[in-house]
Amino acid sequence: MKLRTLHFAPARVTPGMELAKAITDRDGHALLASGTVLDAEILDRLIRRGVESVAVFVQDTRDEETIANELRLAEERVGAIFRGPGSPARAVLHAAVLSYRRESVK
Amino acid sequence: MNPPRLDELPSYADTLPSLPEVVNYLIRSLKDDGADVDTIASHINADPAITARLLAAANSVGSGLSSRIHSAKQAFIVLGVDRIVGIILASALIHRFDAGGTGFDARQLWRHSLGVACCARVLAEQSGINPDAAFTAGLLHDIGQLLMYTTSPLDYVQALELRRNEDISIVAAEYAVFGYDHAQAGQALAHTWKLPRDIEEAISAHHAPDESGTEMGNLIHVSEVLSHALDLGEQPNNLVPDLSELACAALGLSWAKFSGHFAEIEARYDGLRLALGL
Repeated sequence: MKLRTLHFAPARVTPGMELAKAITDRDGHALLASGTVLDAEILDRLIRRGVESVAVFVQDTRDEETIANELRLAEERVGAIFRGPGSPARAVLHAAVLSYRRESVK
Repeated sequence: MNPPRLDELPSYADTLPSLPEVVNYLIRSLKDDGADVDTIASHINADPAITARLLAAANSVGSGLSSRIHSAKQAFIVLGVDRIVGIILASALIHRFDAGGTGFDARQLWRHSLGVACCARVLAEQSGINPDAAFTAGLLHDIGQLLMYTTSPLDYVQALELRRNEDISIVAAEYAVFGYDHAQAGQALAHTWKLPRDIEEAISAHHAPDESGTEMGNLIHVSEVLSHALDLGEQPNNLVPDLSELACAALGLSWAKFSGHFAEIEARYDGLRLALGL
């Protein structure tokens, strides 16, 4: 089964989840390598170190139709909130958010 | 009755509850790198309501911790001064100014403000700006809306209805009804409250940063737009405001690069929302 990479606050992480990206502290020092399985003790340490977001692997149980539907809804929502005219800078942000949403749904 | 003129607004500041003493102290100590834990903890302990909310929020952030957090000082030691200061400010402001009533959702406003604060913190971390001051400026940037609602609830609800019915910006709707907007109202309030100058400037500039061109004004403007773009706060009729080219350029911002932080911002916002029960 396919794995997705999702970002969570440490309080939302369940022990047993596997890190999808290495974690560094605010000064850029490596704390944990990608692939580390998070147990209660490690989560405890991350919270104490001030880590507010971690990327973990999650099993993707969605079928293709669900993914296509989520993609359509995400694209529609981005189109709706960026309705109306704006500066070129807003258009660049619009493109960046659309690309981010498409990647997140995959 | 007509809504108060802009120059009359500061005299209405008394209609809002005053800033809790601990919030005043914390905002003033933001620039003090050496703020020591014992002094901050003693200020917090003087306010039992804030201590109780701090412990609830700290235990929620640290729900994976092996032992529970029982005191303000322990919260600082376990979770770090930066994070606790942010949590206390947000929690104290949200509960003190939980105004709201028919047609005005104060908690929705605070969710939005928390979203802007999270964007501001991450943008500040990447731009070499003080992240704690940025977070606080983000939390307070729309305080003018609360003042306008509190002084003239019916007029403010009329502005909100105008915004919804005409699909225009909140600033345009406020101008149509009041003759001024919440950025101006917020600046007047920040001045009355004697908030730090960069925070006052950020409140004033968040919809029109090019007029002042200050660093914090640019940062909060971009954070405001980004928070809408990432749908933080989930306003049903969310509309991404226009984005200043100059503000992006002044911050040296590349969206292609910074979009690598979008997922992190969403996770951090979610964690704080969880902690604050918003």
